Parts: sequence; C-alpha cells; structure tokens
Amino acid sequence: MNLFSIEFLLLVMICRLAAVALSTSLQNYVFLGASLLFCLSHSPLTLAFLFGTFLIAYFSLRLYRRTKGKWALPLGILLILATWIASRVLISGGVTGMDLTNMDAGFVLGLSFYMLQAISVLLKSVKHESDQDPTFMEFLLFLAFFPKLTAGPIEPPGKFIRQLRARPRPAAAETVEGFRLVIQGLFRKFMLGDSLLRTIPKEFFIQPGGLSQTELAAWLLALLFGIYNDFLGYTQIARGISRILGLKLSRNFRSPFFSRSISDAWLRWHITLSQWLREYLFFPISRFLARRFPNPRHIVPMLIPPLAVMSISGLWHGFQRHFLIWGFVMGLLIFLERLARSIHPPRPVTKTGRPWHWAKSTIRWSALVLSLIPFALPAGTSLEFVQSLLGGNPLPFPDTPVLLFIPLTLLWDGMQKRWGETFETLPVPRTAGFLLQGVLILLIFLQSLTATPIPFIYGGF
Amino acid sequence: MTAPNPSPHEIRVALKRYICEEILKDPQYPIGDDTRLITGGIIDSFNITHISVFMENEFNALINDENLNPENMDTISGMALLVENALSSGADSQ
Repeated sequence: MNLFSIEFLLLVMICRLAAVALSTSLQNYVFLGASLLFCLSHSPLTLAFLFGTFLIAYFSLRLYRRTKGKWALPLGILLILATWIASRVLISGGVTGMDLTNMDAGFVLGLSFYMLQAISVLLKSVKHESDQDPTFMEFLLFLAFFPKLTAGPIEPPGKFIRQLRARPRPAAAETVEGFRLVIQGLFRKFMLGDSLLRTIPKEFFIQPGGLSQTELAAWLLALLFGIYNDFLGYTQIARGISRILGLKLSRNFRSPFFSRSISDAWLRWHITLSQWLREYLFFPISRFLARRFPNPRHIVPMLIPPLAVMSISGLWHGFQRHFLIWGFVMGLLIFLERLARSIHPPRPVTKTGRPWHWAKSTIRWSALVLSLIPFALPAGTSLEFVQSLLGGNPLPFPDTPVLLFIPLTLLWDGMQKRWGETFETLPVPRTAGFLLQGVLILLIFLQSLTATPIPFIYGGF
Repeated sequence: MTAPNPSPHEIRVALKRYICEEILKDPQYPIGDDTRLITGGIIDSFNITHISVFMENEFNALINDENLNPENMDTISGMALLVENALSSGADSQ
C-alpha cells in the first residue's frame, strides 16, 4: 500500500468517517489500527522495527519515572540509535545515491523519521512532570500515525499529543483546506517533481563524463527542483490528509529559494528536521561553546557546531560516504558564510547596494546547487562530475521543455509566499479559485494516465 | 549586568544595544522593537546563540533551547518577552 493506492484511499475514508462520527479517544484507536495496517502492508520488518523502537522508548521512559535514574534516558536513546544503525547496516535498500530507478523496496519505511521523534519524547520528558507523558497508545500513535509515517514531518511531541487528547471535530473549512493541500501536493509531486526527475538521463548518475557542461548544469538543477517538488508534494499530501482527519501537522517548507542566507535556507527547507537538529544538537553545542568563548567573532563557536551538526545530518540521510561528505561540505559553507558575515555584518539593502546583494545571492545559490553533487552521487562519480563540469564541452544544450518546470516552480513558490500555501488570500472570485483547483485536478489526472508515480525519495531515507 | 528586576523597556534597550554594537558592529543600525531580525536576514542562528548567552549573563534569565525559535527570537519585542517570562517563572519557582 502506498499513498496513491486504492487501499490507502479506503483507509483514509474509514478514518474520516471515524473523525466525524466517534469520540476523540475512539478515533485515536481507529487511527492507530489504520497506521499499523499501513505499516504492515509495507513489510512485516517495518512493523517489527516500529514496535522495537517504540517499546525501547516507552519502557525507558517508564523506567526513568519509576527509578528517578537519569541513566534510563541515555540508555534508551542509545538503544534506539543502535536499532536505527542496525537497520542501516544490516538491511540494504532505500536510496543509495539519487538514481531513483535503483530504489529497493526492502528498506524499513520511515525509521529515520520516527527514530528522531522517539528520542525527542525522551529528551523532553526531563523538562516536565510525569502527568504530561504520553500514554502507551498516544506514544505508539505519535510514532506510527500513517499520513506522516513515510517521511515525516518530524513532529514535536507536545504539539501532536495535545491534539490526540483534545481536538474539535474537523470543520468544513478545515476539510476544504485539507483537500486543497492534497491537490497542491499531488500537482507538485506528479506534474513538477516526477516530470523533472524522469527527464534526468541515467548517464547523469553513472557516467557524467559523457554529458556536456550545459547538460550537467541543467540536470543538476532538474534534480534539485525535482527533489524539492517531490518532498514538498509528499509533505502537503500528508498534511492535507491529516487536516481532513482533524489533526494539524507542521509545515516542512517555506519558500526556501527566497532565503537570505544558507542558515536561512535551512530554516525554510525540511524545517522539521532542521528544528530537531537545532534544538537537540546545534543550540546545546553552540551555547556550550559560546559560554566559553563569548566573543561573537571567535572562530570556535563558528566552526565546530555547523561541521558537527551537518555531518550528523549527512549520516542521517544514509551511512554512505557521499552523504557524510555532503554534510561536511554544507557545514563548511555555513561556517564560511558566518565568517564573512562576522567580518562584514549585513547592512540594510540600498538601491546602490542591490547589485552586490544579488551577486551574493547568486554565489550562495551556486554553492548550494553544487553541494548537491556529493549528496546525489557516490564519491568517485562526484569527482568525474566536477571534472566534466569544469573542463568538458559546453555543447550540446539539453533540449527538453520539461526544464521550464524549474521557473514554474519558482513562480509557484512566489505565489504561495504572497497569497498563502493554498492561495487562500488570492484576490479572485471564489469561482476562479474552484476553477484553478479543477484545472490542477485535470492535469494530475492526465499525468496519472501516462506515468506511474516515482516512489517518494525521502521515503527511502 | 542590568539592575535586578529590569523593566520591559530596560530589557529592550539592553538587547538592542548588544545586537547593534556587538553583533552588527554599528550602534546606529536602524532596529525597531518589531524589526524582523531572523526572517529579515539581519541575524542568524549563531547570533541567536550569543544573544541567549547575553540574556543569561545580563538578566540572569535561563532560556531553554526549545524557545530559541524564530517565533520568539525574530524581534526585540519577542526576545524581551522571552526574558520577562524566564524571569517571572524563575521568581515563581523560588
């Protein structure tokens, strides 16, 4: 069962019926049953890992409350990490490089996502009393909730569990909003994401030396915008379905291509992972160092936290060497930008300073796009890619109209930035809004007739 | 260090002075109480770290890592409110 199957649609319909007809606690049991069924339909191994992670986290928390021994929490976290590492090392599959045609279905679905959520419950428990701890059922549903199981969003436990305890029945406006999110998500995924990812030739991933400079640059951009639309589309579908069921999930993207710095880009791209890393790794490390080196221009608090956090972020995506290299490069870029900002702090942008502002944006985005090379390709192929990009032939140009989906993505992002995620504040008559949704549904339908969807990339992490 | 029990105005003035002088190196930088500092690209996560340590040292306010998010730290007003809440919850627990 995947998010595009008839079985999944049936599951959502049953849960929607429960959401309008049953009490909150009964709804939760229906949602939990649906989530475990969804998990089992992927593979028994996925269900086993989900239960394993849950039981470790739940009983570590109970042990901590019973014995008052703080050792129970680090022990629980270590065991959860060991489970996650075991799944990474012992079970092949998932994304190995971005050659999507090679994604193996044998991987454990969503483990990297609910592993972080389980750890956050344990870390948060230190800060509050036991009466705020999730119950057995709440904790399991928090990890397993089926719309977000595949690839998040990585929810903060307090926000989600509060909704499990008390929430109003889904109102008509919320349901409409949920449908709009699903339609937007399907459009992003099917039309923009899949089209861009499909247009990239296999040679790009295996033998980039055979492609021209302009082709390499164009396919690299297609990959960036393809991944973006794929992941954003997934998140919107997950959030839309949850909204239809009466639960609100966090946003994962906020127009990242309009960011003002690399750090800002990470506040807008995969927001829930960035927030987790900031709260549990970046701030503890950087505040520890800032207390010892209070000068904001000291190099140690500028260098160590981004390198450590982004390298861990790389490993979170996979244990392959190229993910670690990507994380290290990203950490280095963040450090270099911080260093530049500490020497020349930002000033208000004036008319005369605008060209320099645009030049900085261009440099920043060129660096971010190039950093995708080690993310998407194994180390050896990355080297071949860079050599060809710097010293290959500029011609031929790639000749596919699908590349126009890149500026269309930027235009769509700009419109969402201005008029809201589902264009809810767009100043047009209501009928025009319905017409737009109708056109999107028609486009999605036509696309579904000609091509089967590519698996969600982040479902493989 | 600012006097014990600083007023909201004193907190805002001290925060503004620290950000302009120590972080932006421009005492005249035009920052209002509600100027968007993070989303406006003026400060970043590294600066937030140092501002939080300044809050601890200057006001003796203990700020949790979970509160260092753009909702709380995007404006001088938001930061000042965070300090006030930390001070009042500290006073409550004593």
